[in-house]
Amino acid sequence: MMRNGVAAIFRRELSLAWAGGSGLFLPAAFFAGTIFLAPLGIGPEPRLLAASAPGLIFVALCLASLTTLERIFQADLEVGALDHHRLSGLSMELATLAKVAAHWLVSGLPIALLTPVAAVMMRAETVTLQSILPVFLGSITIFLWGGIGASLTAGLRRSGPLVALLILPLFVPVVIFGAEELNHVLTGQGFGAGLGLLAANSLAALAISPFAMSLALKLE
Amino acid sequence: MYFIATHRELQFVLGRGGKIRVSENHSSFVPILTIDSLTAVRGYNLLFQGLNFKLQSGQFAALRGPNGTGKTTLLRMIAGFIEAETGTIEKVEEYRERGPFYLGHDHGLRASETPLSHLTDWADIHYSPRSDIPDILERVGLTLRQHVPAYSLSAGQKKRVALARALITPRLLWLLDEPASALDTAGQALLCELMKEHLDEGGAILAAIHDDLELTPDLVLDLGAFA
Repeated sequence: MMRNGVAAIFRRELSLAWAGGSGLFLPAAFFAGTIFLAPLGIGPEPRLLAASAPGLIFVALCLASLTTLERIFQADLEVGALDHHRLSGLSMELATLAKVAAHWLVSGLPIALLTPVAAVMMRAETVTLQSILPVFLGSITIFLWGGIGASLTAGLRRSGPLVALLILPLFVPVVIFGAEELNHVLTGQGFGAGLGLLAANSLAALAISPFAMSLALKLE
Repeated sequence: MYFIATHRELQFVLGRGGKIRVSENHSSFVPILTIDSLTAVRGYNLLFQGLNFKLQSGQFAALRGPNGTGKTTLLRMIAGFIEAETGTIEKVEEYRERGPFYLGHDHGLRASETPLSHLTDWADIHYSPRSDIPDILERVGLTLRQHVPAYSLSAGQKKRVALARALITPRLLWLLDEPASALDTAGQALLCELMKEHLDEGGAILAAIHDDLELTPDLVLDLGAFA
């Protein structure tokens, strides 16, 4: 069996998330709840629902992620486990990335997979598996940018609102391009130019956020 | 004259009665930690200044001083968590670019972790062998509690898990922040035993302590004198 310190951190996060119980499904449940309540608030008119579907799905994705983002590093910082990771000789950039990846896997990916279901509930014209991709890319970006907010506020108690305030501006391009792209897919026009921009945004987040997170966690 | 232990030598230390061989001709007096005119400031408070200190292989230094004189700050500075205001800290090179072993006030266990899962992850993260874990759990007296999640463990038991980490991943320098707190008499005896073994193997220990341990320190560093 190949053993790797960074992979061990990833596995540890996954098993801790699993052991954490019902909190695991909180973001997905939040997302599903928003989509379930939306038709009750907006009204049953199919055209109105279908038109608001892409925007609503992305807004729900952003807000659902915020329910869990603050805990990415806080839980380890509180018990002193981050100190040990810093002394382990592993690269903190990769270690933080592994933590974010594990959190995305249990919180972000399920939301992306729920997209077709959400689209059906919102009476979208064309519901295909293609609709998963924009939300998939968007969720990766949101967790990477969100990780920076989480690392900056890890030492604070009740940091949720502060994370939201810091990170919401970074979610703006995701929501704009993501909703535009999802609108393309749900109206049967296939992928458009927004997908490239969405992918570019996630690559930028991937390039920047590990360094920002590792620096932020070293502040004391 | 720097000490660089090979992988094999460090592996050898664990539970096999071996010793870290400090290079051929210098079996003693190998500098593990050298602190030169160190100053620490937290917020607007000057904690200590002009601190000079040397710790060599096989030495145990007790760090003393009233509350708030910067004992924890000094240990965290040496570990590399806090930047020094002025002055330098030179540490021995540890295997795999690790930092020293740091035992802080926090036990490092997440609520749902069990001693076994924690030590297994610890071994994997540090590229240390998993095969030593059962013996080490036995050594720290947690074999029967190895599957109990941390939220059901007592403070002393969590401390024992923290001590077990030092046995899984050998390091030359141990920084202990009030290691005896929360430990019962047997736990304190175990702590002294582990510390003594570490010193015999060529390591060095800097520990902030309030009450005397059974192990007599070779040096006493009183931070109150540098305020």
